[in-house]
Amino acid sequence: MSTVIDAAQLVFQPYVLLVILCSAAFGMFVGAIPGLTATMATALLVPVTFFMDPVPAIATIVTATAMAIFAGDIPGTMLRMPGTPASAAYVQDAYALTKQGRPEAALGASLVFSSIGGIFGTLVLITASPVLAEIALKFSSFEYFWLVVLGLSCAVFISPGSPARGLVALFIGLFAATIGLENPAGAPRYTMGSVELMGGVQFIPAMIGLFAVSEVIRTFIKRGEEVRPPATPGKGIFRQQAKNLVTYPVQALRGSAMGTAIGALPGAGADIAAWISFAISKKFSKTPEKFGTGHVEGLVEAGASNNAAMSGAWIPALVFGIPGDSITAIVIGVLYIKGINPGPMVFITQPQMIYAVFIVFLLANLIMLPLGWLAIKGARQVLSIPQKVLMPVILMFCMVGSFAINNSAFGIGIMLVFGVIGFLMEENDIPIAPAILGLVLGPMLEQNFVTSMIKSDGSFIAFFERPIAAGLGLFTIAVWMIPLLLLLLRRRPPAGVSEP
Amino acid sequence: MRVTDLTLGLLTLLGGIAIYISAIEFQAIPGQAYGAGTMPRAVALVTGLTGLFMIVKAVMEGERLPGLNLADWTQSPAAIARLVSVLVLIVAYIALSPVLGFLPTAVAVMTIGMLILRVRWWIAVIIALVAAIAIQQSFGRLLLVPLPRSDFLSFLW
Amino acid sequence: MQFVKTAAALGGLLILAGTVSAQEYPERPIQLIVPWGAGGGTDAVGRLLGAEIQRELGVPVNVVNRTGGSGVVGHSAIANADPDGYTIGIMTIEIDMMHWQGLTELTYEDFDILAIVNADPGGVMVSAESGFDSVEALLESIKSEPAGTYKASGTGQGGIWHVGLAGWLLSEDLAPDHVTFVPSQGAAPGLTDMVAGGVDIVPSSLAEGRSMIDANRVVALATMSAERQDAFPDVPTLAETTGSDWTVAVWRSVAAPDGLPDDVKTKLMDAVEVAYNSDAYQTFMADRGFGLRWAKGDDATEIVANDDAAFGEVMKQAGLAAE
Repeated sequence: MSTVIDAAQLVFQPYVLLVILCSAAFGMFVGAIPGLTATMATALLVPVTFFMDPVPAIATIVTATAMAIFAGDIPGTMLRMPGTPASAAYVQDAYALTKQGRPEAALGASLVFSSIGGIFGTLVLITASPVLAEIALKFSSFEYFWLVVLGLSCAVFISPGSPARGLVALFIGLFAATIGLENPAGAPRYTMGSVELMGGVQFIPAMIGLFAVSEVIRTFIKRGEEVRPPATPGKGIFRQQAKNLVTYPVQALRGSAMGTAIGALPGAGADIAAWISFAISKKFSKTPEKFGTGHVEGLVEAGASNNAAMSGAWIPALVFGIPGDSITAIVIGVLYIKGINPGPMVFITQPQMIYAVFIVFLLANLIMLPLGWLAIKGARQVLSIPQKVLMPVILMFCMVGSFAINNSAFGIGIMLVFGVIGFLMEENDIPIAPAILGLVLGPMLEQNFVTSMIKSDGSFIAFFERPIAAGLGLFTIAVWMIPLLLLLLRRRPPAGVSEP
Repeated sequence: MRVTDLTLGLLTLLGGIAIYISAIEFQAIPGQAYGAGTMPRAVALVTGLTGLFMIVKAVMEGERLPGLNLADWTQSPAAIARLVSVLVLIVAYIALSPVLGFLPTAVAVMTIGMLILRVRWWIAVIIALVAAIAIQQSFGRLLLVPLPRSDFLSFLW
Repeated sequence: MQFVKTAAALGGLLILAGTVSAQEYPERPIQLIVPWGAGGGTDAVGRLLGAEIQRELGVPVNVVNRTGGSGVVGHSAIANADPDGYTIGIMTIEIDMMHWQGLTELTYEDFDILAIVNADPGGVMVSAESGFDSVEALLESIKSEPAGTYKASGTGQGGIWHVGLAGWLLSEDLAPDHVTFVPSQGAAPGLTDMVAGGVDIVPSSLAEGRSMIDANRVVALATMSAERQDAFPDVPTLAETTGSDWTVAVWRSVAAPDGLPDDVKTKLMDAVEVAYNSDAYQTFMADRGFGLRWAKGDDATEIVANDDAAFGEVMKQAGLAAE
């Protein structure tokens, strides 16, 4: 107990609290700007942390990233420019709510359930780190392969309308993911001799193109004359969410748990977590047909899930010094510099430090609520700007954001190409979200499949030889076979497949 | 502009075949059966199968010829011109910003965009200017994104 | 402050109008290109050096990540920039390998190498559960089992640790692919996979495995350097144990596009030297467990050239080089 008090004394100092507040505001700002990521926010903060004591240094990064992940939902909701692939899972519903004049319903849900997911993940981190980390360490390429296949299967479940068109979208994404040099063989593919294309298709510019530029094109075609319902005055952002919590308690819990579990795996992260959670939410929903039309249920579950995954990623990072994503990789570096060597020993030698980090986690997820409220209040002003003024400015933001991700005009080119693709896809009722899924998970699928085959000397049986892999594999196959079996038994197409 | 299930099925099948052909040249990792070609071939296979499935299903549901339903906007030359204008604006920014620098190009792109949407010209200019400076300050100065600079107007950098 | 500087620069411009080359380098921000992602070790080295160079030269040094293509994209961006001293970059060891693989025409000769600022020797690491306690025992087992029994990982196909492993096997009179190499996206995923039982050996630098070594999950059997490493005094060299003379180290350098004016080059080299010797850099490298190494100008170029030749040799024998 005295450890906890020691830890609290390290955190609850005016200087540390001020640092937390400032980095929270910074994270919120960076995250809300499309094209800039939480990783970028962290990288920019690293030089600042050199001059700080360990606790404020870690607090800076932890707080800023937690904020940036939530704030990434703001451009997603308001402008249809998801900041991360994780928020791309539910951007359809969030933007639909904005179009109905209720952006607060979407942002409020994403804020409150992000916070809940983050706190849930932190509590798991505090209580069960060592156990979970042991399990996570048992995942090799065989297990990740099945996990990725499971994630890709979501494309079929999440796409509104025809599953076949959802698959077409997925394949567009998977194909785009094969471009470039970053494959297990290290061989250039479809690069046409261009050095820039060797880098492949970066998903942030692609995402901006698919979602935002396609929307800009549509508005230009309609000459920005589409009338939107006036934004309804907010009925209190938090009151709505209390109601959501009562309506969807299972969803919130399921999303948090799923997010934490997937986040704890060093080779998976918030992306897969959000997609799988969104698919689960739709699968078990009483009203799956409402998904994609501005329904908060999926937002609740996937929003909780991706922030829980952020906390989950710290489990292997603190217990074994294994980074789960680029953010934890940066923080592990900072921890080393500050003389805290992540690993099992740190829980014994410097427990007060670890507990201080935990307290910072909880604080960061709590401070997110008031700051997020302010950000939402500010962001809703965007809606009062007429479309015909807003769209050219958004186009500019799209271009600068696509440029910023790799500081290259090539990103704008990717954005342009995918803007046209996205426009054509939506004109043809091909959903966009599965294409993002394919783009993000394609490289992981390839990496884990090819390396597994090399390890097993070409034997497929190896995918079922390890206990966790076998379990995941059988589950994945069941997910695919059961609907097919039911289909055969009924001998007629399931509802919703045939398009009018 | 919406293609029918049969058309999309045919396009998907052709896409699958094209990917497969393009992937023939990709070689396996030396000494292994798998490599650069594995993934494109797998994608080609499932793409082709999905295309076949769509064709069979469409034919069973009575579609006989590939078709295309045109949306309303394709009948309006002005709407098509506006579609093209978005693409031209993006290309113009890519081409001109390294020469003119970020600020002038951004102001021009946004102003023209707003004029196309029939915003009054002086409002367009003012908003474009304010937005460009705001973006330049936040991205360029605060977040150190190296926006295109040029000696022309470089004192604003 | 920024404004004052800008105003001063502007004033200087006006005063010196007419005398074209009177402006003294540097008079505007310098871009430092890092060919690897934000958050990685190279990024950290670049940002820290950038901050110190900025302090020394008095103009902002902006770190710019240009990632992708296993480093080809970023290295090309450095080499293709104007050689005016306003674009420099962190050049990594991949420059000595990618042209052998046929990925690019670019070689170290397209750069003016200012200095090498870090080097980390490769190592031999196995999982704690493997039961090996010495590199001799491991080598014995590798030799007695058929080729392909043992698997190693820790970098991409044809990456530095792949070449390091092949070079070691060659030096022990084994086929370079006697141990199958499983490509991974870096040392951390390779180590994780090894602990999960996916592969047997990770030949990456010991610094990259430090946390897992501390956690008693990974055992470091040897270092591929001529002498033992300061941070790992108990880990023997290959020469001490198996008698192999093979050494390999991954280094990072600061480089500029080829053709820098002499005065600019001297000024930059001196600034990098000051940055290297700064307390911030020295303590950072020691705390992260990164190896310090200093070589300036021509000395650095010689190291780079020697590695280039050595890697070319191994890569050709291992079938990693393009024909």
